[in-house]
Amino acid sequence: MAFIKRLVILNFYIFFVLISNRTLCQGVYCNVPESSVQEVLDSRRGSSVEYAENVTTGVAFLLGSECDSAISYFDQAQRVTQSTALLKIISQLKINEKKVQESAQPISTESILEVPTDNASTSPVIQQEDVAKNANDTSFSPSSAATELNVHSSKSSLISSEKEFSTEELVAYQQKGLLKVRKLIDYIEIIAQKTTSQTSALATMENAIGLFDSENHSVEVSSKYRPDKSKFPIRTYLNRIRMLNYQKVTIDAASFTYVSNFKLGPDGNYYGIAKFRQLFIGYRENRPIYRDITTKSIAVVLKPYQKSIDGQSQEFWDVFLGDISVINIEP
Amino acid sequence: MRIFCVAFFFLLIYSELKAQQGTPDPLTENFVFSIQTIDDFFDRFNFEPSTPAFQYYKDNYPTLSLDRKTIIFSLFDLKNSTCKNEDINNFASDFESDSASKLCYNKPGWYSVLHCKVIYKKKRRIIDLIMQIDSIHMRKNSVGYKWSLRSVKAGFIHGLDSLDSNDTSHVTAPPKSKAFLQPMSHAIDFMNIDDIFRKKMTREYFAKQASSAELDTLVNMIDQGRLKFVQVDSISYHLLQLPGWIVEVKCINRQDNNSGWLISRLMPADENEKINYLQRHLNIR
Repeated sequence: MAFIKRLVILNFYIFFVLISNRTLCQGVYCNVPESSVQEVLDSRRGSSVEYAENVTTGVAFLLGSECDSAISYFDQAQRVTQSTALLKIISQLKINEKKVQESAQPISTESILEVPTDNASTSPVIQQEDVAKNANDTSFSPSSAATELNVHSSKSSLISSEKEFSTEELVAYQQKGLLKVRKLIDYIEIIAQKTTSQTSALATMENAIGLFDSENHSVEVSSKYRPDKSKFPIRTYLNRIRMLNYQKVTIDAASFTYVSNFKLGPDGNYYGIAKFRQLFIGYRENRPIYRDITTKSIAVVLKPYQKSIDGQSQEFWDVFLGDISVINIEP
Repeated sequence: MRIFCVAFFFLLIYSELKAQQGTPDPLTENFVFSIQTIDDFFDRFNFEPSTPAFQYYKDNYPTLSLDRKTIIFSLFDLKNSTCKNEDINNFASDFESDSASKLCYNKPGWYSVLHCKVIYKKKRRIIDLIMQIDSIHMRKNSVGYKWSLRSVKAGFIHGLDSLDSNDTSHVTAPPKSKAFLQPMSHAIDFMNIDDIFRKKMTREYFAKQASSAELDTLVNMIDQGRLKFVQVDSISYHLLQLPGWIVEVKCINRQDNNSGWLISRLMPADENEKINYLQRHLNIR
């Protein structure tokens, strides 16, 4: 019964992922049929933690159409345990990989040059002449330890926007950053619950991603069985959370959260961090089967964004979340 | 003396906690005591009242009174025997007054050493990246900060100096992109450091004074795809800002009140000894 329930939930999930533009644009799971995805997920039952983790992560990458990463994780799972479902999905992925390579055409120089000239203004290649010129201006001399850093002059072409804030304003933004961190913890708990409907889970996932300033940030992951840290893009991380092999999870955070002061970066944005400690418990059949306490650091960035009001673009500032690192893991 | 002071500090807070709240919340208790980041270490050393932990003590234990000397004692790794008691007492006495020297994020004289694992010639090797804070003058006279690569230390790089230092094709190339390591990278344990290991990008992250045969060799290895980053294994901070002392700070992860970023090594040092330390330990000349 539980198996059927899980199957229904996963099919719903696959359906919603399928209808998202992101997946449609890049092919359905790297040409792997849904049935194979289900089979490989089912193969985790009764398996080792390492096998289950690699399979879960591989599927998370597959759903994000990151085919190469998916293959790499499935290969790692195969080194732990060989299963028919796994061999099948790997061979399907490799067939897809071959097709992609065969269909790839060399890009002509002309096509590169056809990029509209407008893009030049947004190109990341920005001259920063002064950085190399001031090679000798901040050498530390013990005798000058109390002097200010010699400030390096720059044409500030790195700076997207620049605004000075009062201490009170920065403290208010710190608090807003803290609220976003707490929201993220709540969202993760919702996403991880098997009782959360797929529609809600996907909507919550989008809300969680909306807390970050871009999807390019990474989340470090480790477990007490696997102290080496892995890094995943946010969307992959959330997909992975959704597929954890627990019926229920609880996440309790410590009542104290460390929030640092903001520091101005060379791009005009302000950078800070929030550090929190959480107790994660995963349950199966109402019994806790995994428990750990992790300390995590989340980068917080205060940066400008454009919003159109009455047809006019205006600049506003807000705090967004950035990379998340695992600082410590305790049993 | 040191153990007595730190034990007294923790006992004070613990007894306050017991008196006010009964059984403490185990998830929160150690976490509040633990020194969270090197900024937190600086703030506690400076006896900065806005430090989140001090704010927490103030809100939760209003009758507790602390002094700078006690806090300085609490910054030492209690279970580390490499610091001499005599040095610790002298150090705490040197900085106990409010007017004594303070540590400062945006002043020179402190470095982060990232002990990284890389793959070179199909073998896992250790490489130390020595990082420092660089400043950028912005519009409106404000100053922005970033982490930059100051020097590098690795046995296998030193051994190849003569082989690779002939290639100076990149030495004078100025940085061309807006790539940088954000100023709070240390607080996420430099999980973004792999950016430095991207081909043709390494020089973008060089500190203003960074220049050495080892750095050139590192750039060549990365650009030629011969060196791959694996992970940061550990981080240490080397503080040379305080007159008369060199302090090394490391993260001590344990379920204990005396945890987080703590002093693991303390050395009395004059100006010349600091210069020698920079050369010998941090490869900075």
